[in-house]
Amino acid sequence: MRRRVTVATTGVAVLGLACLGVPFLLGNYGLHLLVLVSMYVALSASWNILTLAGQLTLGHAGFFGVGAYTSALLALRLGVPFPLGMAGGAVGAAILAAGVGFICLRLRGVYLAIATLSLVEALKIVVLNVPDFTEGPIGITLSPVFRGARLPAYFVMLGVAILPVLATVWIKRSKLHVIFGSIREDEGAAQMLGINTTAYKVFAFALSAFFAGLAGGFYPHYITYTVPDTAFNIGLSIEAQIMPILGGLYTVAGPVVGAVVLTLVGEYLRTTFGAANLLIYGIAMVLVILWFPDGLVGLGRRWWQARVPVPVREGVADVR
Amino acid sequence: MRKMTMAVGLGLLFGSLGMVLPVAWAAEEEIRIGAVWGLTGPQAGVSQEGRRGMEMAQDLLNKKGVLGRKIRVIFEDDKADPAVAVSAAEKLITQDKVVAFVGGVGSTICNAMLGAFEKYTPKPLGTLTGCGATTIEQRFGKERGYFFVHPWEYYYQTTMRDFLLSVTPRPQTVFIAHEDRLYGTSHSKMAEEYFKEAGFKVVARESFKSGAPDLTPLLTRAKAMNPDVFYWIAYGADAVLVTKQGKELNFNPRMYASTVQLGTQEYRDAVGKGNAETFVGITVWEPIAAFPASKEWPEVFPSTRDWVRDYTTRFKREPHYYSIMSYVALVATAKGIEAAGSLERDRVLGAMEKINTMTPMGPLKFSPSKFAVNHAFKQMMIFQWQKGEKVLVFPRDVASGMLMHPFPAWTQR
Amino acid sequence: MSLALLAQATANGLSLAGLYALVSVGLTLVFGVMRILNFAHGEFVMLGAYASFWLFTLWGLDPLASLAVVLVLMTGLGALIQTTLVKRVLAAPHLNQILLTFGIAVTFQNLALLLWTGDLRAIKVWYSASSLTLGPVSLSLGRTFGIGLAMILTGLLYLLLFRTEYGRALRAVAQDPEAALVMGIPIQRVYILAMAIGAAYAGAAGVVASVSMFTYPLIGFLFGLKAFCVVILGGLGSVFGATVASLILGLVESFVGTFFAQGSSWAEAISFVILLLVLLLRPKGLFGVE
Repeated sequence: MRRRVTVATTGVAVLGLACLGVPFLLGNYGLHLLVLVSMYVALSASWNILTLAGQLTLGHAGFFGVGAYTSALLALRLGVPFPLGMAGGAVGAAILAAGVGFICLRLRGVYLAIATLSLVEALKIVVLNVPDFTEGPIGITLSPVFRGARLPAYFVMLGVAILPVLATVWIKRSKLHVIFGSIREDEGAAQMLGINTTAYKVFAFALSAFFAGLAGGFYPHYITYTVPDTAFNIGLSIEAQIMPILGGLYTVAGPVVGAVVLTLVGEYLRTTFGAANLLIYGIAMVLVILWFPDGLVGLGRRWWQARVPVPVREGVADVR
Repeated sequence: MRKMTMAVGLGLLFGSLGMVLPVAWAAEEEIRIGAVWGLTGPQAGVSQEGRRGMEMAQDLLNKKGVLGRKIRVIFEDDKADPAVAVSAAEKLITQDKVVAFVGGVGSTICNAMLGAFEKYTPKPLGTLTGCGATTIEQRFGKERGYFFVHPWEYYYQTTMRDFLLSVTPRPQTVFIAHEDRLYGTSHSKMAEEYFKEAGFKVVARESFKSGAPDLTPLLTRAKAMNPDVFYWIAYGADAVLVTKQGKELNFNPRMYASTVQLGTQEYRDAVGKGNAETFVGITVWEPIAAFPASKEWPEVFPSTRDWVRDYTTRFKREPHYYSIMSYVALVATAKGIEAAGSLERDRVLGAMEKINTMTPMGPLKFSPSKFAVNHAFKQMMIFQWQKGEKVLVFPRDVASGMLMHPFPAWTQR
Repeated sequence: MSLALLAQATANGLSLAGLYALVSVGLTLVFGVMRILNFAHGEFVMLGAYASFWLFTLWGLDPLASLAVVLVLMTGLGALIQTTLVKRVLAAPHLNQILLTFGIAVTFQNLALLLWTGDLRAIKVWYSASSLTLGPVSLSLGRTFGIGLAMILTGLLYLLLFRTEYGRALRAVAQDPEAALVMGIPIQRVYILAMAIGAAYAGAAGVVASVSMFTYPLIGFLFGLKAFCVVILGGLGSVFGATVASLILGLVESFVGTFFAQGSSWAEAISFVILLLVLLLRPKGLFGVE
């Protein structure tokens, strides 16, 4: 037991120190990358929450976009400062997602995935076509948050990224873990056990979208400009799905590892291979799915189990 | 297999670590220029055109060198994503220590990149080809260090208005169609305003999704309104579709008009020679322009004819307006550095403001525009497709031929 | 709204529906048989269009003739992708399958970009921008070729599915792969057949696109997203459903675009709303099996 605590706390402590300390050593480029990494951690970890409840969705770009536009419009029209705008964006995204979750209750598997994907496109078209309210395709310009200073911006985004990870830990330790698991495995059976699956699914949607909306709420203030194409960017939905799978689905660490590795590898490819970078990215994606079907965390765990005696291992199982 | 997967995983991990570690090898002998283009993604075609122009300029400049050094352009891909463009720009500043940014495409990208530069004092130098939206001019135009070489929206639309006023018999009604993002919307709003002021009746201003496989609903609708001018503002793919489907629907306005995407080789190849006949477009430059060689720097700014010949020989294709814009932008920046005699920002900036020369793209002198301090190439022209070739028809002083008007019905060609 | 306009809008809608049907029939077949949503399906359209373009440009092969070559090439490509890649994720979760095919899509898009540049390409033959005038209605020849092709290919698929041994095998596997295996149906070969047909049909849509519109490396995404809507609306795995859904979306988009101010910018959103409404009432689409 003592050992278990030691391994867990040491790991978290080292990681925490790295997150808090390393940025002070970096220039604007490194800090910007860390902001993007944190943004992707937020997206992938929040997407993972929905997946824990068995909901296969591709709508995260929509939740992100609603967060971005709510926050940007609050700032533009009412002069609301960004922390409140972010909160507004998160709540807006959560409300929308609760509605979506309720409407899509009966959809399963890929039907849900495509329905949520179409939702992103539909939202984008709506935002484009009501310019009196949203500024439409002209976009919204905002003054740079913290006058463009990257370090405080990073700490805000880091905070945004940590929340869905903590939420995942909380879910894993509470009775939600069992409930979500049963919905994921067999929804009909879960219903028969007396679980109100509707309520839990809607809750999972709202919770997951809340964090995506929070990240979206910060984005336009950070980039200083937003148009529907960047806020409701289907690429974000895809990334939010790739990252947890690469890292390891249903785990706490998986989405984080996936987001960190993929963002940095993507940037490495971009700066190294020029116009061929996405080609290599695509090939790598195919190979990763073929070779590491259960992600990097799964790979790490297998390696760990093969080498490390059981008592020490126990600790990891909980922090994963 | 196990070992191999491990090796690949470790490789990926260390690769990413290696990138984060600041690697700064300052090679003193090179002058580094940053070029952020959308080399992958939806802007890849135009970006390749721009890149060709810059590569040509770089090679030519390096024959003699600038201040006894070589110019090295570092191309970065922005994937047409603003956040990635910011990554690229910050990398070029922090790691590569570039002297200036040259080139680029897309107003969204431009807005995000210049937005990221707001925190720097002084701001990086930029000779920018990708910023055409008036919102950018209003936001960043005051900065002396940004040299804009893309015409602002109002230069396009005032030219189109003046051209339509010069046409006899004068058209009365205009149907404006535009792609539904920043470019088309912003341009078409301005066009509607100017046209109405000038007394034209704008029967509709409608948007569509760029790259959509089908424009027949919009064209059928326009045909039913029977406008004198069908004017659309969109991209190359849309121009191809308007031409093909307009013909298929036998839609015969007196004039088909569009913007610069109508003049590309890509467009002509895609629709075939006869089909674009009598279509008119606005442009900032066409390979048929007849500007003489520069007196000051004839080796880098030859006459339009010689430049087009060199370009065509090298790349086996006709230059695009983005090729020449980015070519001129890079050469102008290099000449500024040369005249300044150093890489110091303020001196280069001062020297660039003094440039006054002829280029294959026309007279180059940075001067104020509505909101910007330094902007070049304000004159726009109207071209028309006649017998499969482009002919400049407006304004009169640059015209190389007469306007053919009205458009003969599809069935009579 | 005049009658002539109504007729023209209907004709426009039908030809759009033909294109949608060509793209989606193969996609729904692949899903029906393998339960895989192929995100690279749009890229098959793109590759078919490029194949047709190059056959025409390099060897002067008319698209009507090159169609046969493209069908063969794409059949081969589909079989290759099935045996080397997709086969290995059949047992994996849906997510892994989506990602694998998405990775294939990104690879093809960027391969096309590097090999053939980002330029637009189109074929110019006598029927590529010509039309047939029937009273007040103009029928585009290129797009009518698309409708014809969609009808012929869908008809052939029906014959295959309901009149041949292969078809029986395909349907058996779609209904219950395990039972099919027990009955001695070579299930892996059936999978290859499904993917090959899917790719070939998408390639045929590409040929139509190269004649009646254009192609460029990212065009697959445009078709892919719409094809997803079509097959989900029709019910995954139902060829008939995909045909009906193509008709609905094609006609709706044409009518909305023709008869409403700003219709062209809203048409797609309305398609998505229809999709969501239908799913609300029928979670498995119009003709999907529970």
